[in-house]
Amino acid sequence: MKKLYHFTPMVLFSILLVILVILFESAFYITKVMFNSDIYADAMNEKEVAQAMYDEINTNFGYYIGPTGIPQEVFSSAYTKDELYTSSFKLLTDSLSYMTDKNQPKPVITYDFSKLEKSITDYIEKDADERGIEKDKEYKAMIAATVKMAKEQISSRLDVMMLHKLSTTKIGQTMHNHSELFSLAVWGLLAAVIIVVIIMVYIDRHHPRDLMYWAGTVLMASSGVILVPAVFLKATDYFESFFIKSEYIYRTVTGLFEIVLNDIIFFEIIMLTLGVLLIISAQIVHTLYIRSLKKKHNKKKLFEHKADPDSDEDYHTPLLTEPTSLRPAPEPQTAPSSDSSEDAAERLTSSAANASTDEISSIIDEVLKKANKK
Amino acid sequence: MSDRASAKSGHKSRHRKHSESNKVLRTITFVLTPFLVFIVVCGVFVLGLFKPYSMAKPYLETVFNPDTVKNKDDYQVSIYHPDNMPLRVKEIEDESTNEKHTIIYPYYGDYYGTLTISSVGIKDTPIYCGTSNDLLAKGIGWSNSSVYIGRVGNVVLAGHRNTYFAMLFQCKQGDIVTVDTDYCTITYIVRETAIFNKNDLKYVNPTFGKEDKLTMYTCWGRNRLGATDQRFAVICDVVERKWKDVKIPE
Repeated sequence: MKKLYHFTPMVLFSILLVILVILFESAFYITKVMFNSDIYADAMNEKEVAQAMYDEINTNFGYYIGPTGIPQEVFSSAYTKDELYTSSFKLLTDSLSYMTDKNQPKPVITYDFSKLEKSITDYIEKDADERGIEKDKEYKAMIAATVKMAKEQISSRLDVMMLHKLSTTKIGQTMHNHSELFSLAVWGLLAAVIIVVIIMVYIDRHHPRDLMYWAGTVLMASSGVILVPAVFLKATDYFESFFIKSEYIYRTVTGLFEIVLNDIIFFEIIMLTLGVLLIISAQIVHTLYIRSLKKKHNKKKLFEHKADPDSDEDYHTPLLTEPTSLRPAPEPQTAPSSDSSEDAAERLTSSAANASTDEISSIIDEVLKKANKK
Repeated sequence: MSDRASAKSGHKSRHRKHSESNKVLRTITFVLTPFLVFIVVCGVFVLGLFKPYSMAKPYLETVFNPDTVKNKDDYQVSIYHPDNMPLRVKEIEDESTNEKHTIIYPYYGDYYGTLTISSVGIKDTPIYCGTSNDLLAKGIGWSNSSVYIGRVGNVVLAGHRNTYFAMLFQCKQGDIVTVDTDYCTITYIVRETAIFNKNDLKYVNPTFGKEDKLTMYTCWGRNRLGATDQRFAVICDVVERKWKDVKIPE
């Protein structure tokens, strides 16, 4: 297996980098995906939220025959599934924009209730005409109260993700007032990630093949930290236990969480695979590199030694013992001739104990060149 | 020469041993480092999120309750609670007679008892615990913000004017009203009727332990269509309270 150089600092920086990568991924996902209405549209379409909302409003108006005497058809004939969807999605988009953009106005419900008003008024008027009920103050008050009640029933169901409600709370206000901090956080975390990567590259600059391993480690660990809880939540259907049993809210919320979980799991599996591949690649590249060195040496027949391709050490150990021509002089040399291969070999032997594979290989190349020249 | 040779072979075997142990150590390091980093980062996040999680835990348990998943597919008599909830049985002292009796408190959505006002044609109409739309579509609703039936205070019953309380408008002073539950039967007499605004809580105030009465109300607007803010109430006084022997099922 490959030796890992500068192990302690690289591990410490890897841990730091993993934490920063996780924070960056989370911040990026929230700002670019969760603050974008597309994911909510996907959740609403996938789970047929408009249909569920339409059915629930219909069911609820069905109960109103008891207190009002007005059949459900009078109400339901005045709205359509598409109108409800359009209006609820606009409210959601406006609420989201308000919370994530300081310059956006407060969200308001935009729904055309004129058809509903007309339908209710016509029905009550017709009944009053048929039964000869006086159109007095009480009659008018009852029409107004019925219209108001019907409007409330629809309006209260347009806020499918409760983001409109959230935008009116203190949290919503704080988000609106400090919305620029979200993008700042993303850029800040990205900068921190880049800085740590640069430091790691600098520390391991003499061992470029190690960087592949450390990149793999960071990707593997960062994806694992997110993937494990995400898979747990998915496997246990945790979000299915959402307490609101109002069908359309339940579908929107669980649908959204489902999409988010699937996104996370998909992305993190790719990252994990990439990480594992990088780690394996680091070892493969190292093995190939060692083999290429061995082949080169065998060609030149400089060494008879059977080197272990798995070990870096096997390439400098024989140099200390095997070739007599390259064996170090017993006393330190004062003024070695710069053109001799022996000189290069001596440099190799004197630094072999602490040198890296790359350094050794470059020195070996130098020795070979000098030997060829001779 | 032989000493030199043996020293050389000794050096070689030591070197091989050293090299072998190095290999094992390298392999372990190479394979386990990603896991080590993973474990350390997990630990950092667990420590960092421990306090926020413990603060958010009650809310999370309310919002995401895995027990509801377990019960979701089960058959349930009430949609508001699982079937296997324990009976809420309590020994109470009748404030009017100082006698001890057993009450079974209902859960929201449970069938609670029946209402009979023979004089207006209301007979054994079911009473449910709660006043949500689905319950009022099935019968009369006992307002769970009022006192339990049998306890001293204002027992409040609500119903729709076009369904179960359509005849309530015909109630007049002196009519007899009977409320029957699993643990007691109470007879009331109509004292008065009133019309009030839905925001006026005077008539639906529970009056725990003070005024022993029954208030039944529905929407005002008899023979008219549409919603109204006005409510029609029938207020009754207790005539008799008969306690039953409660048999608690095993």
